Amino acid sequence: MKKFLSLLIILITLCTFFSCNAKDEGMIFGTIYDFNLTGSNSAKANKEMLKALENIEKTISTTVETSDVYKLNHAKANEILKVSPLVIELYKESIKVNKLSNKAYNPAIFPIVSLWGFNPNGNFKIPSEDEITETLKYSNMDNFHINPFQNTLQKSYTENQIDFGSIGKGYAVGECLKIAEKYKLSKAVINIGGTVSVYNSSIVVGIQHPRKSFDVLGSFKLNSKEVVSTSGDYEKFVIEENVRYHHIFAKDGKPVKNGVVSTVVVSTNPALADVYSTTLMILGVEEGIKFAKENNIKCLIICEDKTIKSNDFPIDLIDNSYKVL
Amino acid sequence: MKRVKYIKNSKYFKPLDLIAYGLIVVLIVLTIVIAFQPKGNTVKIVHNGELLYTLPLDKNKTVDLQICDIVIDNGTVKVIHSDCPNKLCEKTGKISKVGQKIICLPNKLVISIEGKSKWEVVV
Repeated sequence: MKKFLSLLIILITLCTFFSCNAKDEGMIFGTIYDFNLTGSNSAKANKEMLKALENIEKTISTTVETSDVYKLNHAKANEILKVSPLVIELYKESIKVNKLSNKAYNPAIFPIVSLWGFNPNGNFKIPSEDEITETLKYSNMDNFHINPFQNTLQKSYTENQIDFGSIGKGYAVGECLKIAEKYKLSKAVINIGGTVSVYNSSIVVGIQHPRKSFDVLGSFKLNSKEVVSTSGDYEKFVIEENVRYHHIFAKDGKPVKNGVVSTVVVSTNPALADVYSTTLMILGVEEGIKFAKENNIKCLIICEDKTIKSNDFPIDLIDNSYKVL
Repeated sequence: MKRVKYIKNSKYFKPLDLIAYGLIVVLIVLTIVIAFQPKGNTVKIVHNGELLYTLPLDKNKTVDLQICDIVIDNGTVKVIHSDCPNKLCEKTGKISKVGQKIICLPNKLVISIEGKSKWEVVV
């Protein structure tokens, strides 16, 4: 009995000291990441997750000159480019949602994003109507062509540029979940640029108030392997002459202005969580809720008039001036 | 000779026991240290991956970094006078809740609020 107790105490203390918990945070994909891992293989899992993130960034970065996406974006029209299976996978998922959402979700809108200066290292400027019309010609997902048998992509116009930034974050979270499972962690909380998931546990997640930066709007429960993502007009924006310009663009090449200030999506498909939150923001309230119901997407659509439309998404409201419809 | 024999045969001082006793002491010390950590929420300022400051949220203070000023006032934190081009960090405004962050990407600066709260992450 005494021997058993001694061993137990030794085990507990050793566990406390060695790799039972790994906390790591830093920057990747032009945003922050934050891991909180618990389990005897935390340190190894942490290392592998970081490696996975770096590999994804090397492949899909729009600024790293050796990345597949950079090469594609800077290639000439009709040039055939061999890309990694990751890019092919992200492209296929993107095309699916692009079609499903009637082109609301559009990763090929990057030329418009750059025109307004919301690209990495860009400087905000309000473009002219002519500039927008011209750039819209090269912002169509249909301008890209895939050969799935050869793993190649090509574009119709030299000006075509694509950005897998948002789907990339979700995908990265998915890869981290797989690693958490591989190492049988007792708990893992993964946060990459605000796309969050948890492994083997449930956590309470707070939702940032869209208009009061110092406040939390409400909270909800996130279960194991569910991924939450948000999109909003308060994340990257510029206010000029009392008008708010933000980084989520509608089909007309201008920042979406449809009464929606933010969306929250919970999905068991990591790559799609982010894609859907952006899509709903662009679709607006009515189209958005319709889209969510048709595709079984658990979501909240938060509006400027302080109403919240919810699809299968119970929320604990903290700011009671907002009403859930 | 007699002392070594005593230790070897003692009921309470076998080598494994000594290790266990040592670790219990360590655990007690750790518990005491943790109990004396600042209560209430804290502001964590990380620059380039390096923790610069951990400050209590309830003490008004202005931190003057070359790249910007960080103002802790009345339980809130904000950034002013940032030298970054698009000033998104300033536009984030005040934060006050655990899990909230102000990020200045060009300056590789992350300011976050840590402590106990109902939620584990804020999205």
